[in-house]
Amino acid sequence: MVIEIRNIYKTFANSYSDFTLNIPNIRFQTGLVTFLMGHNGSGKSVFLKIISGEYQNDKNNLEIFIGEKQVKKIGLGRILRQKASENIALELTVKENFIIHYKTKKFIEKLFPSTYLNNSLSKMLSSNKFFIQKANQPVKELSGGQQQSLAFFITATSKSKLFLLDEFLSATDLATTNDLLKESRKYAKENDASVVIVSHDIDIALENADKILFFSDGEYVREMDNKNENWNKKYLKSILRK
Amino acid sequence: MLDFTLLLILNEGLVFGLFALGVYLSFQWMKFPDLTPDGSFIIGPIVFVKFSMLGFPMFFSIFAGIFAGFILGSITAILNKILKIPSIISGLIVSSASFSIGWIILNKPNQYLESNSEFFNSSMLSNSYSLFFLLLVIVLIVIFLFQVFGKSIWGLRLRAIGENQFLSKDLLISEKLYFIVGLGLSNSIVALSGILFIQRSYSVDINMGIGQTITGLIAMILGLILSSKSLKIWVTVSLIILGAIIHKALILFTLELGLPAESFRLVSAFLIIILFFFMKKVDDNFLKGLRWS
Repeated sequence: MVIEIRNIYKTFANSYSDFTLNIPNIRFQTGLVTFLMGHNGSGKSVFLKIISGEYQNDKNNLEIFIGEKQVKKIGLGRILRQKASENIALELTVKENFIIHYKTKKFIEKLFPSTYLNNSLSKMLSSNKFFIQKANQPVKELSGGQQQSLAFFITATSKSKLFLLDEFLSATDLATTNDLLKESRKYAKENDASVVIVSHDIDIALENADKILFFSDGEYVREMDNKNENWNKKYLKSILRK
Repeated sequence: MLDFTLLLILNEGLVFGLFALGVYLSFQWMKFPDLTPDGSFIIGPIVFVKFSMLGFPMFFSIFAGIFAGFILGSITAILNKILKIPSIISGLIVSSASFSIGWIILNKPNQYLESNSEFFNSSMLSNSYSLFFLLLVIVLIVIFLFQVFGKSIWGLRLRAIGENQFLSKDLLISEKLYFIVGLGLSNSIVALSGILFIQRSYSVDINMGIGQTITGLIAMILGLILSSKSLKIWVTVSLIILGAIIHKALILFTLELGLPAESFRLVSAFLIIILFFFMKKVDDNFLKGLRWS
């Protein structure tokens, strides 16, 4: 299935500089991991923030299609921001961070979530043994890598069709990065979703991406998939230098 | 029988303990440096007295006073979240306006309590005992409500978006609504403490709120130092109440040492400087994440 986004347009202007992101059309294949690459200021993060609803598109004709079906909902994608602290509440416990994301309409479950949602929460926490052990520990007491993993798994509970990682892996160590990339692929397959990763790391992209989309000066300029004969570091570097 | 001085300290401490819980809700849970309590501490009792004088039933008048505090807190949130006025300035605007609003409502700057505004109509000693037991019951109820609300999905979300501004978008909830209700609740508690305060002072005065937020902060910081890293909400809020009692006892002690009565604000100012020093040792991040804008 294909997720298609049309008419993305956003301008930032001030007395020092101006920037315009203009993407008439872009497509993501579900079940795959796609990397977004480009130099700093090319518009990758702005693009993610528009499709996650964090920024408003300047033109009101933004259209999102999942397959043939047009989606009206703004903020279709769920974004993971670079710092763990921007995705989770550090002063709450691990379990409480899962609770705030839990969707329930029952008043009693909202009032006493720890008691009435215990089974559902245990299931959510079971995604990672570590979370079960640390369930009642404040998140601020976890290490940076553990906080990143927690942020990933919590955001993954949304089951969003577009899962967006905005330079999220740049702050993790190698072992955590590899784990989260494995989990990203698993998420894409299990949820028939598209995982979109913004990264500057060519090696990681070559090893893990099904496809790379290139941004330059606010425009989406080209794409390349991992079956391409030029799928190598030298060629990618030459594109990114342009 | 409790010593009368001790009774006075306990009553004053419990009243300002409630005040401090309002400050705790805004400063610690919502990370909002709210100065509205200076205003809601006077508007709550003034509205209560006015409604009582107009002949409304006592319970209705109390509710009206508490609701007036809620409105003030909500206005501060609206100024900040909708009109984008910085948080400190929003609170200052509302607390400053409260001075005039209180005067307009009362039609004069102060008012002695009439019998229909007094909870208890007996001798001062007997009143103090009755007030003590009433305060104890109210404080226990408020601690219980803090515990339940703080662990409910709404309370957890309020605490989460207070700390992390991005989370309201992730959770698809309205930050504006949460802050309007959150600051409304914190100032409702402060308004209630004002209504209880005038049961001890037997009068309401438009000046009685000036600088009281500092008093609440002292009790809050004392409570946080005492509770250290406790995760239990009921423990922390109980210790904030204890902090308020300790603060009032210290003030009385310094007066007993011979310092003039007008120096108690100065004593409080020195105390808060010392407490900040200790607090930094307990929690290095204390008040770091406050939202100033």
